[in-house]
Amino acid sequence: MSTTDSHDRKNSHPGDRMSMPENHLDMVVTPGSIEPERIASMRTTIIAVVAMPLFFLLAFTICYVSASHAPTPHDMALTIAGPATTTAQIADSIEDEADGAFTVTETTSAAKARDAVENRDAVGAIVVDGADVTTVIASGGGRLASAVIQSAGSQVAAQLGGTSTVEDVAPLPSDDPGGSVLFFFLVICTVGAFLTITAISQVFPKARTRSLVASAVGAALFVPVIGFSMISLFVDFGATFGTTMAVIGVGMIYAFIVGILATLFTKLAGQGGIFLVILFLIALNFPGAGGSAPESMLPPFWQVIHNSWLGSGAFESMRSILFFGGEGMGRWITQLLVWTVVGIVLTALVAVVKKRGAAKAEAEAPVAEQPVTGGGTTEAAVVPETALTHNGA
Amino acid sequence: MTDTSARPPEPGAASSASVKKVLAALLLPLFFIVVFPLMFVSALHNPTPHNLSLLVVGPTQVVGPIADGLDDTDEFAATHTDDEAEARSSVENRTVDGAILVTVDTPVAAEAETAPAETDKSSKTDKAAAAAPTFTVTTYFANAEGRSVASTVQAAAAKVAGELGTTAKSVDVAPLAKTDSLGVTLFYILTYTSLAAYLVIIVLTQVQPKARLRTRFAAVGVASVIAPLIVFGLSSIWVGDYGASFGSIMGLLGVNALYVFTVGSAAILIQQFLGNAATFGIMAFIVFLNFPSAGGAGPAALLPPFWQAIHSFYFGAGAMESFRSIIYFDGNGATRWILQLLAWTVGLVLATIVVHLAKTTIAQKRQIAILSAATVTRATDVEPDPAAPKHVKIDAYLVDDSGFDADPAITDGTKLRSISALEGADR
Repeated sequence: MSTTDSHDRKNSHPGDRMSMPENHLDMVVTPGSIEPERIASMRTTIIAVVAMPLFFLLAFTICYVSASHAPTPHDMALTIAGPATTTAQIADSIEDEADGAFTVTETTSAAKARDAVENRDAVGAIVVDGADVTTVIASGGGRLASAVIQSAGSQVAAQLGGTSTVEDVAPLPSDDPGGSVLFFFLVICTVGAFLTITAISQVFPKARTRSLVASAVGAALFVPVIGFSMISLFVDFGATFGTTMAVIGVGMIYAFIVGILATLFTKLAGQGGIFLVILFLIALNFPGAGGSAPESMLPPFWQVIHNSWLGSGAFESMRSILFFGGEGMGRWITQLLVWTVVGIVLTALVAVVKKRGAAKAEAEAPVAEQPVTGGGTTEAAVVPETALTHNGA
Repeated sequence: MTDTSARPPEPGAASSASVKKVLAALLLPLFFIVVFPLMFVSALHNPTPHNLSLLVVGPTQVVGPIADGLDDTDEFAATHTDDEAEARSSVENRTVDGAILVTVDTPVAAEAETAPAETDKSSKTDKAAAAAPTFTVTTYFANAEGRSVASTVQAAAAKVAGELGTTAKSVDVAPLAKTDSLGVTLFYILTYTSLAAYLVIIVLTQVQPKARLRTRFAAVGVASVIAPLIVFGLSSIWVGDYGASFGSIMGLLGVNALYVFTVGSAAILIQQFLGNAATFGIMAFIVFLNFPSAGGAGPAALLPPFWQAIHSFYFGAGAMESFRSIIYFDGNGATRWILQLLAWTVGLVLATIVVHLAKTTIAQKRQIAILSAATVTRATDVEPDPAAPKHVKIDAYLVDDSGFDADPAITDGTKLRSISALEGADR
């Protein structure tokens, strides 16, 4: 909200009919945030009561259902190893049967094929030795995808009339055979971080950018630690201390950027920022993260999202650390860091612009007590304290 | 309060009041990050069958020991029968999660080399032991019960078949729609429509904290008609109609409407009790207890016992299993689950009304007590001293203080008089 809003607001009194609800278009009600004194106009009420749930319905239904109703392979990277004639034959028959489902790489080296899976260059590999087939999968990279590779492998074995064995180079822990728990960790980091910002900005609608950033740092430090500890009650990933710390570390970077973006959205759109939060950090973030449906089985639109969004950056980094010994992580952590840098720069820009705007408004309407020295917005300073009393409990 | 807190960086400016406000605000994220994993992870991390119901069908002397063997495990609850027709129908009717049909081909016939065509394969493999009986094993399962349930049933059947020296033939009596290959879409419908139901109440309370009970129920009523239409309509862009009939879809929308109304009523009741902290209650009762137990994300048969217990009586499970029955099982088995949901609807609405009436009565008593204690020069004056009632109101009724602006039906003369009489007696 801009400073002009703040000036307008000081003239309002408790019980005034508002054109827009001050009391947050927000799913979250923190204790003390409701003001019984306040009555919104019928128009506002209807807009709020309709718009908010409607937005959630549209965003969630469209995003989740389109992304993960029926995962099918799209350009799933598959390496086939064996004698060149055999692999060419297999590649052809795969292409005939399922055009566009796989991107096949052929090699004559079984070791290379295995490496490709271990390095996450390929989702899986089919290694042909005579008539016998070894299917190399990586469950940690996504259970659904490894099931597809596995059935492709057994089909090839049936065609060749040999035996079929499966080798899992990145197995999931026995406590989490479906591989869903790491995604829960991502959800915890996301919601824990943005909820902190929303909650703080609700209780202190005039909170400065720097206070919100400080809150984001706090959330980033605590949320992943608490979340991972809670998960550990039920799931033993069998990871070393260092690995666990690295996963939590990625969680911290991610939670921080989530907090920064929540701050940015709150500063840009006031309490309506929750719509941007939901859109950017949940509706577009979760279905494409690669958790419920792995990247190789998402529809093309969502594959693009996966290759650029922040959630997938964090999620795939954690996967690499936890199940692949860190292989293939560089690309994903970079994706996450780009978001972090851009988020910080944008937030700083918005804070500076708001400060200038406030200073200008101050010069035009000399109500101010004293100029503010910090980097935050100046809303708090330019509005006399009395004007704010109705925002408190 | 806000003014001091707006500049937390200033040394000494942060009063203990604003620290308290920060801590109170942080309770919600803390609540989420602690309770979400506690609930979702505990329910869904390691799906293993617990008393998954199986029916073993065949001659008693053959299937009796098989069923007993399965039943002795924690994984399965198996019964047996010799009525072959029940194998398929019991899965179609959702009385069991899967059925294993064992048929015996008489060895005498095999010896006489007049083996029936269908036993060709098994008689070939068993030629060495031609004297022993040969078996055919057929598995009846339903992917619509949940793919993991279906694969568990198939695995059990494969083991039984292995022990009998044959392989199992599989029949999916309720396959999932091609567009819903994971079987998750019905659960999406459940969760998103829940969201609509409680968001309506949360937002309504924020913009109209004093909205009357009837206004709240009206809002929930409207949501319960519109939300299922929107969610189903949008999801059908990708999922289509599940190959279900128009009547089935109407049934689904109807049960979904009932469910949304139930969730909305629950939200209203929670708000009556918890006031501004209602979000905690809503998260706990409508999200954390409701979603993992519904049987959508993890099928009931593969949930831990605690969550199976919740599943057997909670409203979300009632709705989810009804959806399944209606869309994938021609409505078979829906009755029990619709009743489970309906019991909650009725119970919640009644509880809400009772709580509302009780609160209203107590509010009136207090008001009267204050008015009479202030010795009554202006007993009939509706506008009392501004300070006193405001104070009392904030103390006692943060949200649902409808005693003040309320229902004319309740604040009518007779009622007031009877209460004041009672109040007099108390004094």
